[in-house]
Amino acid sequence: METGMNTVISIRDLTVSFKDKKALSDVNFDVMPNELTVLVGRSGSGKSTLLRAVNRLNECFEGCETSGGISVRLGGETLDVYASETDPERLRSRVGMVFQAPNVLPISIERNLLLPQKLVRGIGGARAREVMERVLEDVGLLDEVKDRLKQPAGTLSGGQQQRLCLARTMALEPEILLLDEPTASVDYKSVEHIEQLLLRLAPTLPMLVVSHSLDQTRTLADRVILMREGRVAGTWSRTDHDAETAFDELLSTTF
Amino acid sequence: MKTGYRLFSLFCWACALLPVAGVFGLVVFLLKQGWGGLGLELFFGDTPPLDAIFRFAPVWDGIWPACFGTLAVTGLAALTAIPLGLFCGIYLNEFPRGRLSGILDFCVNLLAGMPSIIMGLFGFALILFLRHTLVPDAGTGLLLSGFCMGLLVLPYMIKSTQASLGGLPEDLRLMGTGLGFSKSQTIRHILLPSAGRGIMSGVVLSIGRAAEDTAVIMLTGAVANAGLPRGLFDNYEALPFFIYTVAAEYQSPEELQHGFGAALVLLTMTMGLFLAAHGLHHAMEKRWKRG
Repeated sequence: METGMNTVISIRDLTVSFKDKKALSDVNFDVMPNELTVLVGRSGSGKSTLLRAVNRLNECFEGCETSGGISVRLGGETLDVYASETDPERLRSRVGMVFQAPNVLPISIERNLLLPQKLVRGIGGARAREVMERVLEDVGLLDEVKDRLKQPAGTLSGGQQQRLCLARTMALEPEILLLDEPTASVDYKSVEHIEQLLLRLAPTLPMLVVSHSLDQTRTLADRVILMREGRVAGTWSRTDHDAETAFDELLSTTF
Repeated sequence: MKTGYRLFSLFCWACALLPVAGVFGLVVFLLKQGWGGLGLELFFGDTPPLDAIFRFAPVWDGIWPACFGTLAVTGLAALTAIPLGLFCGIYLNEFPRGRLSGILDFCVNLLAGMPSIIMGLFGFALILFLRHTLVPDAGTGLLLSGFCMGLLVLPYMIKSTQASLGGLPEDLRLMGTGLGFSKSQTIRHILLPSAGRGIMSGVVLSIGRAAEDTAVIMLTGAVANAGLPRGLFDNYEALPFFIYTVAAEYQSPEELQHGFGAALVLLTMTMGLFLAAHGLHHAMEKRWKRG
């Protein structure tokens, strides 16, 4: 599939349906490096499906059919996501994803971070612990949990759990990050923490974020893709002429 | 409304009390009848216990060989049913449903409703078939009993695995997949440990059933006074069979007391097996949770 040299994710004529019910129709857009792209739209507009199309997670749902194409830039090479030779497991470990509701495993905090590293990257021991501490520091959780790493992850607050999920994904050192309303179920302090972290990561880690909040979109987005009924209904870029007014105009219909 | 609710909760209470009362009554009854019969003599008869245990000296009037036989059959049944049932349950719940899984589901339900005497007859017929075809000197014995018993309890394992995997939230599957786990990694490291408790109840049910069933072993290799089996193909004694023969043919009150004593021993043995199974599960869960 043809893509521009610089695009990180390139989506062309993407149509996804579940049991003959269309969730996405003819979606086209690019995600550029060094830009944080935010997907907005009402619930049911296809944002999550679009996100899951990028790491082929839709395939886990019954009756899913995908047509069109997505290519991603990984390790300096362009990978056709839906090519038959693409290994979806490898793809998913390189294109990390964080879900809307925190889904920590009912095991200890440290094992939540060590188990995936061992299974997916084959890393254990001191090296895995180093990575664990680094990502916990990154998500601002290290001070809060360093004395209770052996405790069940379920004892953390919702916000802490979501940051742990983010840390777990980061520990696999993804090259692209997909975030499905990462702050939908966390307290306001954690929201701030996560948003700051995303802004800090954005220059080096390409991101596609689904957001339900106008303020968050304003804070984070370099580019906005507005979804409506499974189609792209509008786009916005920080570099647009008269960006501020255009932003308000685009989003007034959604929020 | 209020009286209605009170009556309802009273009824629930009464129903919950019934099994407790049943177990309590049964244990008290067994203790009363069998306690006097407990002792080294019940286990080993006239044979010195250490000789019987360590030098395999023959035991004529004791239940030691029967204890050993029951443990062996239960162990063999568990070895057959637990892995088979686990993988069958995984197949039924985690793989895309097709025509085969429908047929398998139907067969499992059929097997679950199979009376144990039919399973015993099946084992017996199997040996007759083998004698007439491939293995002329095949006979009944431990291995055949263990296999047939495994088949008998297999549905418990399959159904409990299937049900406990099916009850897990869909998020758990998606989480592993989303992180890049392979399907088998998700099953092995996330789903099975999460479903551990339910699977464990299947294991406990299977062990209990395999330890107590008499119809299967009667037709596949359990005999009175066989002594300790010398191998997997040898006939053996078993506690339920001993209890059954004593109950049917006892000639003195002492003999009957031996039967009750054996029942107490069987009950204790299954309790011990349950505890061992729970201990194992606990250790596995701890290892999963703490690493």
